[in-house]
Amino acid sequence: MSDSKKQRHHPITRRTFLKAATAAGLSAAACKNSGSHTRDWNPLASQARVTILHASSYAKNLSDLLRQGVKNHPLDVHGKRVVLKPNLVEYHTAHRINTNPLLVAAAVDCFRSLGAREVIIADGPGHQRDTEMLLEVSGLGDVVRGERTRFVDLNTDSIHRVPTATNFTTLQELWLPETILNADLVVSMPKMKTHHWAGATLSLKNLFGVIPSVRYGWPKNVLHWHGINQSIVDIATTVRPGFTIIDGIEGMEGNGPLHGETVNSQVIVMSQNLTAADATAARLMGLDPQRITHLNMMRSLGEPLAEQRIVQTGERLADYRREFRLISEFAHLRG
Amino acid sequence: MSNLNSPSNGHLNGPLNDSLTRALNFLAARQQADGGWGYAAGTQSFPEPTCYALLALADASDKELRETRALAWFTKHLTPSGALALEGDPNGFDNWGTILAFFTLRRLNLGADLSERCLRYVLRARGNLLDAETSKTLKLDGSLRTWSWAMGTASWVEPTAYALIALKAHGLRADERVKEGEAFLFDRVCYDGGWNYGNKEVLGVRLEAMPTVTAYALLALQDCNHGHEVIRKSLAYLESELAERQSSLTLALGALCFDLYRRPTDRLLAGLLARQEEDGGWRGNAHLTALAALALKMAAEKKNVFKV
Repeated sequence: MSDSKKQRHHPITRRTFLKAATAAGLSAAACKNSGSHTRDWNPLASQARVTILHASSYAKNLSDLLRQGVKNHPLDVHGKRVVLKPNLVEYHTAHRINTNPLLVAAAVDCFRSLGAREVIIADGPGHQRDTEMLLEVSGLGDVVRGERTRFVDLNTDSIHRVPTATNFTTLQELWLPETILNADLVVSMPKMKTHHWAGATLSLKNLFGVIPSVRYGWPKNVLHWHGINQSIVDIATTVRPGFTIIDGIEGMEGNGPLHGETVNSQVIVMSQNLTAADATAARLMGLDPQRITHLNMMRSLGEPLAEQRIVQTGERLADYRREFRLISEFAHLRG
Repeated sequence: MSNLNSPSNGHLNGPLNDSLTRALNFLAARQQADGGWGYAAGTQSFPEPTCYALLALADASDKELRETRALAWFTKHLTPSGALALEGDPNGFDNWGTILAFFTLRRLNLGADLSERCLRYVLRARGNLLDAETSKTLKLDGSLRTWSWAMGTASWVEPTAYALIALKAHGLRADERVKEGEAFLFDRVCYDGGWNYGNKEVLGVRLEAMPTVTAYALLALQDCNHGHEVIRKSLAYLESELAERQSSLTLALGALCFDLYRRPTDRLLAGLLARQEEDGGWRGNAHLTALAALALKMAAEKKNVFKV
């Protein structure tokens, strides 16, 4: 059976699964075997499809480009509530840290044109409590107004307890925002960056932003104490985002995710499988995905990391691969 | 519009009083059936918007009924240990929410038993010890254990500032926890003044301060020597930042902070008034609206809620 058929015939939608998990929260959490990593996690596919798109700048018609890219994937958003989760972290005059707002605007337009019932932009910045300031200075506020959509601060949304699908941390449960739980499709929209604690921050690490700071703090320090890599995996398997659009038009190398230098890598990476997308993005950055701890943990769950398990469409990876500069602590990630 | 919540002794010009009245009416209408306040309309009640809304509405004419309902909310969420817990999470202690609850209940003379239990918890709660390697990497004193956002994590600037304000307002300036908290803030200050969440340096890179955290830290150190270099540089940072860019939160906190350091607040208050929306709130958010109302009350009634 093809990947697409597997997904189309999946009997339980993401939202139904999470609603059920929320309702069953306490008893399920209490019954879990903390020694197992995989209680509720079923990998989506033995192979995954990843698309690499060329975009020389943010000035191009990105909406059309994204629509072309999405057509490579069996993604049906008709009538669905789509939540776009960009990487909105901090503002610095000297560094391009956040997912570019023009790409977020293009994604809003793209999913609307494909029939989505509602497209919401949402994030829970990990350091900055002043979301109003962050929206304005980053330019995302203009997108929210221009696209007549809404932004939800996931840090202060209503929250519900959900048992974790895997047990790489000992948390056993996560509090998740209602906006995420009620989404039919969560789209992770990270910026392609190196990361000084995790090696690289891509669509999986970007999901830290769905964790509500009202419960976990600014920064979300509970996750750090439970292990950053372990937390990335438990969040990803529990939240189950259905698509990713990685902003690699401008990436960041060196001391990312905040203080690195801009790389004009001129790519967008898309996939329904976030692990496969991150593995591909890592290769584009000149990194060996198997040496990135959280990606390797995903591999242990059966997720596709090896090139043989990724059906790659669009541009040729080799044409866009470049070696992102690494801090010495992560020199071993070089592929 | 009803003016039930007009300030009792407002003596500023019309726009300020009118703005304050509209803000208080917004907040009064947003109290939820459970007695608390959520950040956005129709969302779950949390300690922070609940505490600041109650403080803003402290002098309103119908305060007794409102406070009775709010007390029921605090009572429901207070665990035997004295910590607030989130709905459905009796074991998940909410450190920073408990600090804010203690501050609010004591400020309003409400629920003496509840606030006493909160106080005992606040004095017991400590952030984790940081090991020597982490301390060295981050260039900070990891032995200082003050207050964390959540149980079982490190100490951070903002919850520590909340605790210092609350404990000092309660007359505990000489307590050893307060002294340790002050030492923590002096240790975590950024090189060019001001504070961020709590790291001044990571992997050799000096990190930038953040205006909201800086305002809270300065509020917490209001009774320290204003001529101290850390305070002078941090005030200068905050003034410079607010001159360059503003938000509802920075304007409200900046005004409340500058008032206690005898700095001009007119420009900040004018900026706040300009951002008020038709419904009387700021961005439809009860937390922002309550802090804005507290800043306007500070100007209208010469009463700063954060003064210790």
